[in-house]
Amino acid sequence: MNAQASHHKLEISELRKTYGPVTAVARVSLDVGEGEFVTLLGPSGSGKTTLLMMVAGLTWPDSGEVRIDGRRCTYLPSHKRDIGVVFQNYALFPHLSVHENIAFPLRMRRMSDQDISRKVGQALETVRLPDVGARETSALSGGQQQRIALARCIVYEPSIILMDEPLGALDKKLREEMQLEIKHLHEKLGITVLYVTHDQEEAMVMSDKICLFNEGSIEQVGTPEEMYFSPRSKFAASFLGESNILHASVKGTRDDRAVLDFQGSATVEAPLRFDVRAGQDVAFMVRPESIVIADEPESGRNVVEGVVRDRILTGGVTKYFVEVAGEVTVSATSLTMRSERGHRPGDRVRLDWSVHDTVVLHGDGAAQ
Amino acid sequence: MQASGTSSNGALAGSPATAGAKPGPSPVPLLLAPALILLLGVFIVPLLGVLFESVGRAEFTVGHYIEVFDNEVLMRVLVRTIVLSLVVTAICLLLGYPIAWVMLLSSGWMQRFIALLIVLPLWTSLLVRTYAWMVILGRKGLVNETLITLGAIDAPLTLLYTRFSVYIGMVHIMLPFMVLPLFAVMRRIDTSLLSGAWSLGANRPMAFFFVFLPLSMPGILAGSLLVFILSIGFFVTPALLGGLGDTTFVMLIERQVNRLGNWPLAAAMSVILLVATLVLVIVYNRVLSSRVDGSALSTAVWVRLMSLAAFGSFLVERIVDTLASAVPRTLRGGPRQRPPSTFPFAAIVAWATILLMIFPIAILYPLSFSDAPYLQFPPAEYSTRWYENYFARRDWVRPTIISFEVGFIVMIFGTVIGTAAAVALARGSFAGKKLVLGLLLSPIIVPTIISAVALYYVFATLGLVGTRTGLVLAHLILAVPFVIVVVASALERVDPALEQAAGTLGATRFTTFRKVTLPLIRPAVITAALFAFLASFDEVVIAIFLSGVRIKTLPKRMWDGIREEIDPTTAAVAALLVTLTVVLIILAEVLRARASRRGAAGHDQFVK
Ligand SMILES: Nc1ncnc2c1ncn2[C@@H]1O[C@H](COP(=O)(O)OP(=O)(O)O)[C@@H](O)[C@H]1O
Ligand SMILES: [Mg+2]
Repeated sequence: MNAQASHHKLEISELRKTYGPVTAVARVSLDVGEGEFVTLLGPSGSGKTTLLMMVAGLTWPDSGEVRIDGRRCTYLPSHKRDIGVVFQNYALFPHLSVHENIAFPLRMRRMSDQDISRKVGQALETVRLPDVGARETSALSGGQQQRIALARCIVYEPSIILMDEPLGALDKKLREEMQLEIKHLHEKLGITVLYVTHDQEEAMVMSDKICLFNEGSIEQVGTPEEMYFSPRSKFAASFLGESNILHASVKGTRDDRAVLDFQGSATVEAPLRFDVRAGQDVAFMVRPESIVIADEPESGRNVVEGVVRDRILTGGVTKYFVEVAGEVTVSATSLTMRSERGHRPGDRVRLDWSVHDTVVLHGDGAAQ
Repeated sequence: MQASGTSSNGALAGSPATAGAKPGPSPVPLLLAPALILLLGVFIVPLLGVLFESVGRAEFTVGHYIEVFDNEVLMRVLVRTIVLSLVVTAICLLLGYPIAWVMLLSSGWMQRFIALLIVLPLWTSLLVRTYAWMVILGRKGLVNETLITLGAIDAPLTLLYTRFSVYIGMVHIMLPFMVLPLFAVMRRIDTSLLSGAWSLGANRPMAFFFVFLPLSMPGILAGSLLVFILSIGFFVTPALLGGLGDTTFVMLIERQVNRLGNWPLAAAMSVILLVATLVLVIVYNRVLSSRVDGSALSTAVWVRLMSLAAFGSFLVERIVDTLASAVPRTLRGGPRQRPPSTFPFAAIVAWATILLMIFPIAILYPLSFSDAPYLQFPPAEYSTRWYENYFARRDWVRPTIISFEVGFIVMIFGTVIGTAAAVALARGSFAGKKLVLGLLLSPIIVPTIISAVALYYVFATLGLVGTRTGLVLAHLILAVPFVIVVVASALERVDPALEQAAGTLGATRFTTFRKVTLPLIRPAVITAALFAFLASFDEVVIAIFLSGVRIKTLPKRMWDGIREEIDPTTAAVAALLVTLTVVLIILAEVLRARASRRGAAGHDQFVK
């Protein structure tokens, strides 16, 4: 075993898995640091479960390596890895009581009955269900079963806990409650979590780090803020939150800014995130809430003109759909205010937003 | 666990040597080994032995086959056997279709009750059922006595030992194999199509004949083929109920072996029958597998297993799902939707048939308490003397003990071997799985007399004839398929995530099986064990060949008794056997209920 000092709990390098012609996971590398909460986020079928199963030792990769606590365990059977998994349908053993379910991993570790009792009690306290130990698992509600599944994982303090869409079966309200609860547990216990979801909001709420998956590959890794404010690609920009993705061609650069020609109708500036050439087509993103519909545009901001096509009151925010440059529709949101004068469909308006909210995206800049 | 991130790594240290290398092939298929070795040694090799015998052991010859086909008597018997089987199939269809139809029209509990009545006869040994017909149809039997008492006839009619009694006995035994596939297919038919046809102007019979009947055709085919396959190789009932003119092909095989010792000819006849059976099985699977779930093999196994459906256990749903999927998906409707009208004639036929199936078993009890020294119904006087006689006579008690011994050993080994094989089949991934399953189940559908002849042939040279070991080995071949089917279907219902979860929690594969899988499939294993026991305890054909003078089973003793004695001791034994079977099934059901109260599987709780 390589005895290198590593501060990563989990290291995934170049992991690959194919099913016949389907590449489920394509050479993925990812590190999870101690105490980190990392979420694999991506649409259904993007390979999240496959990656998690390979980390758990429930699927063998075609190539690549998995290290847990610096220990190479790519092909180690799951019972020899020091991991915990919370399954989507909880996978509580129906023939065992709640207490025995939580005791199961401890019994596998040949702990004494006394220690088992104490630890199970503690775990039940931790998930705030101290009194259900004697019950059958089937006598619990979905949310309670979820907590028991969590308790069964944290009770033996595995190096890393893996969760595959653990809240998928719960209704929205309970799901939001459990999101916070799991997040607090993570903070309180300092456990390391690799979490899978296809719900971008859930990922944003819970994660220290989000790892965005697309078709078996990692699109981008970053904190929720980074993912939101500086998506790398069109996919990242559109998967997390709402976005306007617009197309322009590069005029040139000035200082640390790119100067873009937006459909020949306006000049837009953006922070220079990577090298661009004059004449190159690029895509850039502006979040709807960054856009202000202004009468008097402030100087130093990007401004385009357009015609209001639609105005929708969604509750706390009002959405405007504005046609700019003759054909592109841009959405802009602002907080709904009673006194707002409001722009009506057909009004000519000016949209402006900060240069810093303009994010030039990697990849193909051609309009789709 | 308040301390953050302290890993308990040490407790579960894996060996780094194995961690780097890709693991080899899964060891799971190895669990098939015992079953396959058993199958090879006690089934395939003996059959090959018969094949070699039939083509001349020393040098190759087809002479024995020519002998068979040139022999006018043999050919006549062969044709007669085929005709007999066709007639039995036709009667089963004519009686079974109304029963399936009436079941379809019935509500939930009524449907279950009819299913119970249909499978009730399957609880009881074939020998007992056949014996009951002898009692009813005999010269002093129920029918004749009744008719004479009523003054309808003066002298007793000859009902027993005729083609008529053969038909009755065989239909009684084959009917469940017709009704259940039929019902399974009918249940998938969207009966609103019938109403649709009515609304388009078709009258009821027209709607039935042009819409329902064609849609139920896969069930008709499946049931008919199954009954036909089982009928042509059927030995016990024709042998006991038929007259001299009703000799069937398998009876001639038995005669060649046991009376004439003409092995080559018996071998050639066996191979001919075996090939015919296999061809029919292949036809069944080819023609029907796209339209009906399950092969002829698994269907035959499931129909027998239905005898446990009585208590509304999971098998009822399971068999229906296993047997049917005949109707194109778009035509399937809600299964519980009932057609708005019934044919009264169908109901009468159905209920009359059902009662006729139950009746013979019911009369065994009064008969066994008769005081008369011959079979008489209704008995003039009642006594328990035949029961006393049974318990007093060594020639009855000893075979009983041997049957229990053999059955018990078969139960233990059959359950272990079959469960291991089921785990391999349900959890392993390897090439040729279907073929292996087919092979393992094939003893169910190969006419038992052929297996018996083949085993006799091999065991005689090994000195295993007339030994417990020989009986156990032979019966294991018949018991293991039941265990495999029951346990594998329970394993399919266990959520794989539970086993994966156990692995991630630190359980080895074996511990996972012991602590998670096994408790979850325990009810099915109990069922399987019971069937393994009954498969041996009830078995008569193999016992006829492999029993010796000292070591014989109870069915073999009954067989002798039925043919040679007339006293009602046999009736007492038959009644005891029915009682024992019922008690065992109830016991199994209680055990299973207890096992599943702990949330165990086999049931719907966490079906995928
Ligand atoms: N056992 C399998 N056999 C064949 N294809 C599979 C299997 N498991 C996953 N796949 C395929 O791999 C891809 C990734 O699946 P998965 O990892 O389940 O995605 P996700 O969890 O992100 O929804 C999908 O295209 C899926 O169809
Ligand atoms: Mg998934």
